[in-house]
Amino acid sequence: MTFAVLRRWLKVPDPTALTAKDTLQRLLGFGDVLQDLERSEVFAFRWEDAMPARAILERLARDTNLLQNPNKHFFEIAVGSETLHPRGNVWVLTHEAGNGAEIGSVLARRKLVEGEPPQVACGVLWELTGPEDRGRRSRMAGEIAKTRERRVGLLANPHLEDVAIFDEAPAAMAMAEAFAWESAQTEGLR
Amino acid sequence: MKESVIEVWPRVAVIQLPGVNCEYETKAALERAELRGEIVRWNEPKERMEAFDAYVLPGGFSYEDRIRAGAVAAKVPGLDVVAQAAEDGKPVLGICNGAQVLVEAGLVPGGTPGKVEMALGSNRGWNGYYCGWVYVQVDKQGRETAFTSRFEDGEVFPVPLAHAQGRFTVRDPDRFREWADAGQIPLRYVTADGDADPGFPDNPNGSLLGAAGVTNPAGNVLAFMPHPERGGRLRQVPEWIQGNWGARRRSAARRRDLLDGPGPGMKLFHSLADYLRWGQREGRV
Repeated sequence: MTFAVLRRWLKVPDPTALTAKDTLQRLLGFGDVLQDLERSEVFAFRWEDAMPARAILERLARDTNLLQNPNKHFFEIAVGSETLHPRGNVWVLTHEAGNGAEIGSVLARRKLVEGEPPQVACGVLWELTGPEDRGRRSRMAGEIAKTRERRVGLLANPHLEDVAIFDEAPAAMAMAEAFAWESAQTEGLR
Repeated sequence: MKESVIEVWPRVAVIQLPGVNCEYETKAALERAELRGEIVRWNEPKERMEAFDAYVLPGGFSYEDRIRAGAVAAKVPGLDVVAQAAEDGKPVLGICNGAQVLVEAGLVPGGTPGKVEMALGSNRGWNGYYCGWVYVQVDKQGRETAFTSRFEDGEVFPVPLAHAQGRFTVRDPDRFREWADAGQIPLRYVTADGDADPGFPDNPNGSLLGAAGVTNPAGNVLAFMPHPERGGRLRQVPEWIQGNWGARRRSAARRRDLLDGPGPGMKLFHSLADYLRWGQREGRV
């Protein structure tokens, strides 16, 4: 099994991140604890076999417009136990089952990768900067992550999206494992 | 219209959140139903916002759909007034993006007001934004709402829609069935012949049970994904539409007096007007 993640983020300030930060600080009471909020999109790849994942993703990122647009995005790739380098000090991954499956089917249909095409899932990585204390910032991330009530939570609607919280910079494998792979592929084909 | 007449019409606030784009046609539809529609900015003083008999959250892209459609608008202080009005029994209608705001604000299905109990997911069957006419059937389940009294139970009517995230969904589908049995899903996508549970394009987004509109338990709050205000005049109905409305539209060709008459969406606004007038008589409004 091979896991890899491509993370991309805007070269300009991200308006969605700014809006989320403003909503949390000004309307939801996180002004004292949430210092900053950034946002990336992540694409997770899973192969059943050992694969030269970095070389494949670098080529896809460079030669296709499926994964990143060089006019808009910076990006990084991490494979297996390699750690990603998101901004902030606590991270919330939100994702909906099925998102990313279309990219997987494009890779297969256009034969853009040699051998067995990977399964693909994607989501949003919210990059929060909170208190120094790990426990406090994890609690903050937990409160922010899911919209439970009108004035409680924001980043994901739990009736639609799944959430994973990382209190240290995640490795590619840890992030990839946070996706619901089986249901993702099934949902995406409906 | 004489000012004295307008004065006695029930007052309906059309909430102008940043990014909405249907407030003027919504106001026009309200006025054709003899309701006094007023466009009210979301950040007006609370006292001004409270002084209305009903509220409409119109369509558009509040806060540019950032994070999720309706997610940010649901948090703004102006929604406190709308939430309180809903709890007090005043009618609240969310159209398209307004429906998304009501779902994110927990006002529908509203079993526990303020608790977010469902979601509006991305369309299934069509990748992204879908714009077209659909057929909606009224399913009263023996219960009336503030927005359906002018419709016959089982009536099918055409209505336009335009959205990318309109799929009513919930983790536990049994909950959705319970809401349907309780009459909280009075408007559902069907075929022109009224066949239920259709696939795309009749159910344009893959909503559970073909839900097009969901209410709170009391029936005074409705989240409706299609745009009834865009079908407020007969001339807005395409000639190819099937059923009575299509026949009516075709026979009205070049008859300006008929074409300017009410379209299928007006029944929803007339129902609201009836509800408010009954309320005036009963002292509710």
